[in-house]
Amino acid sequence: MISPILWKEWREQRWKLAFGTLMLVFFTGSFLAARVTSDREVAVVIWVAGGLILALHSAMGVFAPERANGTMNFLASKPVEPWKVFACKWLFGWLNVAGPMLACTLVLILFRPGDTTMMGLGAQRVIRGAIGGLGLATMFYTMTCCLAPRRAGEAAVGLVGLLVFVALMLHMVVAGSMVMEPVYRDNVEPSLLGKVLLFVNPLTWIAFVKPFHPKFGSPIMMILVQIVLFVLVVWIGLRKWQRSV
Amino acid sequence: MRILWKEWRQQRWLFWMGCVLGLIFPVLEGLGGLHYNRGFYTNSGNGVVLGFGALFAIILAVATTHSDVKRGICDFWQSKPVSPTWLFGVKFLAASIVLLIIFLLAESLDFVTQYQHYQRFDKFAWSAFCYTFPIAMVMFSVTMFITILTRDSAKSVLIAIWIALLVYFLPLLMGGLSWLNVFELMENDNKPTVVGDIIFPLLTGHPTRFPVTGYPYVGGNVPGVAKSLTATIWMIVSSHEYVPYLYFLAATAATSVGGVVLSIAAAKRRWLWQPGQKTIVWTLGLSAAFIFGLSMFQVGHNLKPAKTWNGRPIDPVVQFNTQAENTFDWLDPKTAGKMISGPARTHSGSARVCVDGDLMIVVGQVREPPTQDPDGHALPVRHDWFADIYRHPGIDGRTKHLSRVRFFSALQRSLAPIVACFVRNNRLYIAYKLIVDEGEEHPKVSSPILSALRLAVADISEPAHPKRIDHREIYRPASFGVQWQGGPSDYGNYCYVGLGDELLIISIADPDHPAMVRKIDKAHFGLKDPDSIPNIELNVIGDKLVCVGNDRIMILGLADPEEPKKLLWLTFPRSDSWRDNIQTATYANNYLYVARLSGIAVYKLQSKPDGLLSSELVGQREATPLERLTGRYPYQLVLDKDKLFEAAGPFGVLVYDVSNPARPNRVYHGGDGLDVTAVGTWNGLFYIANPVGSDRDRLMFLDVPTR
Repeated sequence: MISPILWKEWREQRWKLAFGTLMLVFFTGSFLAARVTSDREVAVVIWVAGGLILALHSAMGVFAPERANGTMNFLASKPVEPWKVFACKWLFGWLNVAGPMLACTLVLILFRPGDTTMMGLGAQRVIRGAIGGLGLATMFYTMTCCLAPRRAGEAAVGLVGLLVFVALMLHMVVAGSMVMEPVYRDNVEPSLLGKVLLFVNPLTWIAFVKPFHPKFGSPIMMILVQIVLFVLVVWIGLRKWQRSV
Repeated sequence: MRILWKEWRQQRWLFWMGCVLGLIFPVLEGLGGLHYNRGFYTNSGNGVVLGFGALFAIILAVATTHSDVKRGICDFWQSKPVSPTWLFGVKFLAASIVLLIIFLLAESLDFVTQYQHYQRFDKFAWSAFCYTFPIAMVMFSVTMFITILTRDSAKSVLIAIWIALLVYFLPLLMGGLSWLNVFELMENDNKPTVVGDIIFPLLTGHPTRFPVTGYPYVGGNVPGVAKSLTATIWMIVSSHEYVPYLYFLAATAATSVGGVVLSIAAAKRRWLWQPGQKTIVWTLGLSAAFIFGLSMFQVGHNLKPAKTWNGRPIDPVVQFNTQAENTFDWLDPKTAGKMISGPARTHSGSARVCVDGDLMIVVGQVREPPTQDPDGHALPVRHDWFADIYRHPGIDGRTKHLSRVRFFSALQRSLAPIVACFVRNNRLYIAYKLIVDEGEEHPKVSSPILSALRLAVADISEPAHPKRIDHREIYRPASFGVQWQGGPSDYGNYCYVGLGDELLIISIADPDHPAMVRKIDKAHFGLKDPDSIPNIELNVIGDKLVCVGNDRIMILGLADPEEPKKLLWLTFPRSDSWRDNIQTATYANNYLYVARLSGIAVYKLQSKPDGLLSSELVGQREATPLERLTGRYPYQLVLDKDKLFEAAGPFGVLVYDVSNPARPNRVYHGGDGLDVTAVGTWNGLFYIANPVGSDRDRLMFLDVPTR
């Protein structure tokens, strides 16, 4: 019974996938062709800025339109568990973010294959950066669509996204000052609590693009903390969804 | 009053949110400063206003209008409990107060800390407010209208963002919209302001720059009799520097009012427009892509680094800051001219480049690191002058740094630049203007100083082992402070130096011992005060000497090299804009190419029966707003066949097709981040270079298509 839901989501969301892919690939191609800055900077702009914008746009159109258009009752009448509908909707929204980013990664690998100079890219850097960018965009997308108020319209979800971003930036400023600064200044090992305090911020996915100080260790702990945060946020979103239907 | 209360109820949560968000970044920045013992200082408030001002106005408009036009409420207004004119007029008024307070609050810490630390008015923060607030009001009224039209907040936000995109970025592509180009208006914002120049000094007790009756006057750009406060304010607002801002203000105010009027009409007549979200998003995306593509076309590079030469691979980038194979110190006889260890520092002062065959010579000044005597007192900083000789990347594909020579050194704070260098018959001539202690090779800071032109001559027949031949003072003006920059430019056995009031002719007929043979007063060319010999640049081109000044060009005929004859005196109307100053010029095939910040102009020169030249403006190319904004600054023009190469400073190199001089057409752009101050050809390869600077002192070879 889940197939019709998947089909509905595909029909509804596919234009966003096409739009996002076209736009992001166009911007990546233009940047690379123009050679106004190094390939590495182009990649960072595309992964971070492009990923965040796509995530915000996608999050606005996942759950809010169902409420605004009054189709929530239609979904509720289907003999499918609410969590499955929730998962389908989240998945297609996420594909709208991940699809274009993966397409851009492919473009970067194809057009700058072996350039491993200081400011260039190599395939390994491209893949590391893509993982970081996608991780950040995924978390931002999930937090925006799941933390928005239950009855929020699309614009309100957008506003929530902006607030989430501001909150993440503020957290980064504070955590950076408390946790990162002593490490870089005094070359000391950060405490476990300090690491958790820092890694709870999805912006730390940027460590895949530009690695943190070696004292922070491997990114496994960051990934674990992010997984915990992801599960928590999804659980909040699912609870809200279940109460809505 | 009730409507105002209703608006306050609607807008207050956004007001508080705006206040908190506007202040939080400056506060964090200030706290960070305290943490690092730099004191509480912020300048991020203006960034918050510039970056988020218009976006916040859009959010405010949607949030406060949507609740008035949603189903049910919209029908309620038709019963006319209040006039829509009042409703939306008051909404606009309330929003303008909310935005005004939030913007000023966000910047308040910038103003306060700037005053606390430097006792001055934060002009940039005020400028950010002056340009962002009107645009925010435009965005509010337009978004209000769109929200009434669509009754859909998400669509309204998307359309409003699209309009904001056009408002900010379309003027970057269209020169005709320069009055709306916020980036350029802010960059060139040097107008006096009522707040900064009158209110701020009066509040703080600082003297004003304008003579106001009863207030201390420090003197400034408006001398004259003191006027009343009102008259002074009017004088500032009506000044020509204020006019562009008044245009901007008038346009934005008219658009804001137009938006409110349309909102009222839409509410009264129940206009409804319901475009699909797909349509809006595709329009937004495609237009953004179009604008971005055009921008990239203008700033992007289409000249690629040259990676081969005569079929051999070469490294296209040459770092000037490398260790030389041989170093020599001509100042220290103990080392017999050989330095024990040669510094490989960048040229931090002025530098010049010249090319001779496969050799390139870079001459520049290096500031040594500060030192202390045994008692810990700072010693005067020493400056060294070096000549570096490089050999073109030949068989092995890498440029060689053959030698480095220290030919002069001085302990001085105010030191003169290298004026020029050129090579003739294996002799390297280096001319530099020096502020010297009279009669001493190593002047002391406290000694009396004079301005003088010096010329060093070296034998570079063995470029790895250059030999000092001569080093002498060529000319010392009677009075200190003579301004001269141009030359020497060489022609035959002569070279020329412009001093403003005089033209020096130096003979190199005896190649080892140059000597001044003539000094020509400006009166000889029929110039009287305040005119002077143009001398920001002197170039010998063919048998003519082109003397370039800020607003005039003089061309001298060199048929008799010791008796130059004035052929052309071309003056340009002195405008108020420094953008119209001439930066550089070149002459070829009877066309004179003049580069200014505002663009390139081409003059056709024709011989008259009396042998003199006449000029006629035949072509022009205005620099695009993006070129200006991204730092195009012409340093040098070089003509090669039908291509005009411009060393455009931070904007890299620009290549114009001048096959039709009436229509100079930009065809190539290159640079890869290099701040290009010199262009030319070295052994058949086109190069761009910047010999000055700490991280940009390099040269790059570029492939220029020959089509």
